[in-house]
Amino acid sequence: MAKPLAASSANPWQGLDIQSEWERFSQRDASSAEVWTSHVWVDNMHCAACSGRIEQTIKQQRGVLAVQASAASKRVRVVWDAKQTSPSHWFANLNEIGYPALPLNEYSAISDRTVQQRKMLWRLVVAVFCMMQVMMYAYPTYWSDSNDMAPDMVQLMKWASWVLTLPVMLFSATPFLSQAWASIKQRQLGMDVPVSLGILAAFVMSTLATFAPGGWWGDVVYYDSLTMFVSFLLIGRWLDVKLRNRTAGALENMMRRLPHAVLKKNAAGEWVQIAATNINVGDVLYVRPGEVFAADGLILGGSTSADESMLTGESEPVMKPAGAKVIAGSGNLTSAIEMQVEQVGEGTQYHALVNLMASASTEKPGIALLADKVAQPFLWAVLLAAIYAVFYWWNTDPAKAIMSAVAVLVVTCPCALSLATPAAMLASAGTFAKGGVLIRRLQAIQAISEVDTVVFDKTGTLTENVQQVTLADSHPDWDSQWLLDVIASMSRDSLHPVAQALHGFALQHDAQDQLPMQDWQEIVGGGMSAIFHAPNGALLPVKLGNAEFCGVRDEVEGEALRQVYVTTGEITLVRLTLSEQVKPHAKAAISQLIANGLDIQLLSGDRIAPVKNLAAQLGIQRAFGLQKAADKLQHVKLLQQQGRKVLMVGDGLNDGPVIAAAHTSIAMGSGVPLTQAQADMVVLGNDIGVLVSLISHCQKTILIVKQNLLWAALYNAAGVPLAIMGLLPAWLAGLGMAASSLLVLLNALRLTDWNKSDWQKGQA
Amino acid sequence: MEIAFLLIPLAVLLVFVILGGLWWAIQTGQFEDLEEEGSRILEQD
Repeated sequence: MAKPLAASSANPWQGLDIQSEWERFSQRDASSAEVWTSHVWVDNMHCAACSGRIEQTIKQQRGVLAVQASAASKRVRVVWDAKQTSPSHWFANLNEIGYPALPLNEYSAISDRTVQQRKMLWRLVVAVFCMMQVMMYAYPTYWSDSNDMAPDMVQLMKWASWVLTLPVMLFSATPFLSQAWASIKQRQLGMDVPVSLGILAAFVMSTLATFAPGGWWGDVVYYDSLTMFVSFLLIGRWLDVKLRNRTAGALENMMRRLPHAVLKKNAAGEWVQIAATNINVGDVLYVRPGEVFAADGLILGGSTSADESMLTGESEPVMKPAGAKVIAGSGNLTSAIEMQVEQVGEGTQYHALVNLMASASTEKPGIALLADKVAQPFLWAVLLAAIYAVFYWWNTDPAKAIMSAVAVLVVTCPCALSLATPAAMLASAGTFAKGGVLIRRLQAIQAISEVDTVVFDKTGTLTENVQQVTLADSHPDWDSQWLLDVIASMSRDSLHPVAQALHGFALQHDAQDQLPMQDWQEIVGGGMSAIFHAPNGALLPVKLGNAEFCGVRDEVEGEALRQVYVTTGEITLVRLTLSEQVKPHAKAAISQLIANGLDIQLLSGDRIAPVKNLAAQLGIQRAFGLQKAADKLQHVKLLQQQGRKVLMVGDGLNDGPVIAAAHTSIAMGSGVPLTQAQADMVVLGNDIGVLVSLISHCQKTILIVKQNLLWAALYNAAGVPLAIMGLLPAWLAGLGMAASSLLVLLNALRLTDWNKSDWQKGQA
Repeated sequence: MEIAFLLIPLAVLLVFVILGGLWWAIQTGQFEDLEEEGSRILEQD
């Protein structure tokens, strides 16, 4: 097969010179229609020296206006004039100096998210920093008698606090104020409405007290409660933005799995590099081992094996001889091949999977809506109470009427109420993180506390990823140590997971893997063959592989996944059984889960017999084999239609859609990053036993949330009538609010005590 | 205690100066990747 040329005579980047192509990674400059800003990715730019060199070289190009290279992010920003140059020029230029670049197509989406996240962090930093300063000025007035401080000193501190509260009101609190305004315009009542009313009322009252003290509004300021309140709320918002961005980033990484540039055979029969977006049906591409197939197609020349695990769930490499179909997104493992493209872009199976995953993840109901729904009656009650207070006092004392209304708003200012849930959830999330359980969606804690059915994936979840090798039998006439040496030597150079398991097995039994052999060959999907010198000196052709390859009858049975044979001619020398190893604690954990009243099911893509066998070993009643991704999705949906709350525990990427559709989901640590991103929680460290204590801790968290809510409700029930009666001055209302928030937080702190292996105590 | 009438306004000014510094830090991405930067020195170029 002709090797692709290192440098082709034609410029390989010419494909980028069409405007529709460069628009994918460039933005038009606001000032001029011909000036573009492009972002490219340079993978081997590692240090400041590299970035300096790139900047220097590209700047000298005609038509390049500005260059900025960042070694940390491996990105280069180029501002160029479309009248004087085109992307292919400076792409070629980068290639010449040894820094091949790739267009960064999704740049605009990434930068949008970065800007959003930075802005939220900036709001939070402003609020927290100003709060700390305001506290400093509030503190002396807490502890001094009215005569301790000179009145003008007190006044100075109020002014200083007012100045420091302004940025919080005008900048940090704007998300709440604008969302409240939006929901009022839509005639809905969200959590943001009383929050905003409380913030505004506290600010207006304090401002009046600062600049015109002595009116009916009194001279007490609430800047400290106000800034603290806004800071607490912003912490929650910021965490939310961060979590959402991580999800979006993970989905994009999945899209980015396909290569940006590929080698294509041109009309003259030379290999040229083209952008992956320019691949057409019928093109012939050259794919090297280790690369990812950019399109669906047929193999024209060469044979290889492909890793299709992310698309089909098949954990073993699939043999791909000439003429076989390869799919976009799968990895080329063993050797370079030529392929003819049959499907590109939207039409590929890979794209279908990405779409399936994206749509499955958007079907989930937002917890924010749910919270608003619960809060709705409460919010109406608060507003009505405030209005009632105004009417009650208006005829006798208008000042007292306003004060009472404010006191109602402040005393109920849903601080405790809005902290009740997130405080407990965040405390648990932090504790889980320390114990190796990462939470991606906080509402998952509630979801997990409610599940009644747990569906497990098999490989990597209940069993180890590494296959266990056992010696079934070996020919009595042959030296068993020599046979092990043969196995070790033959499997030494293969990358196939079974071969690696065999190699490891032989070495464990003191085999040496340097036995002289001739004509070593690996036949993809079959096994290996080589010629050895037998102990008696004769030349001995040996085959190692599956039954079909070795020409013997397959005797795989029971729990074994498969058997591997070592044969010479008609004689079977060794028979090895490969089976999966159940993870430690798996059986105990499963029986504890069943004892806790959960229905456990097992879904797997493997043969039915080993799946059933494993289920019997673990005490699982319902187990299903031969389940493809779509079957699993169907199964979970069926369970949900029966009204069950399903927790999906998986690890493979083919579980992605199922994980997204289930009520809630947990990914075990060895899974691919994307599935982890789709799952609500990720258990690091592969210990299945954590599940038991995890579920019970989630239930405990919800219990504490309920206690918190109950407290907030009781506090409001006591505080609101007092406020309406005018018996509760605003400062006492503020103190009550702070105290109840503190109580809620302290209650939540009880959740920081979590022992992963607690559940084993009940086992004994 | 008269000095407080100078110091408190100065302290408020200082808050805004520090906030300016934090603004710069956020906008230049100082808080975006807290893990990688620490290990970067151990990697080979």
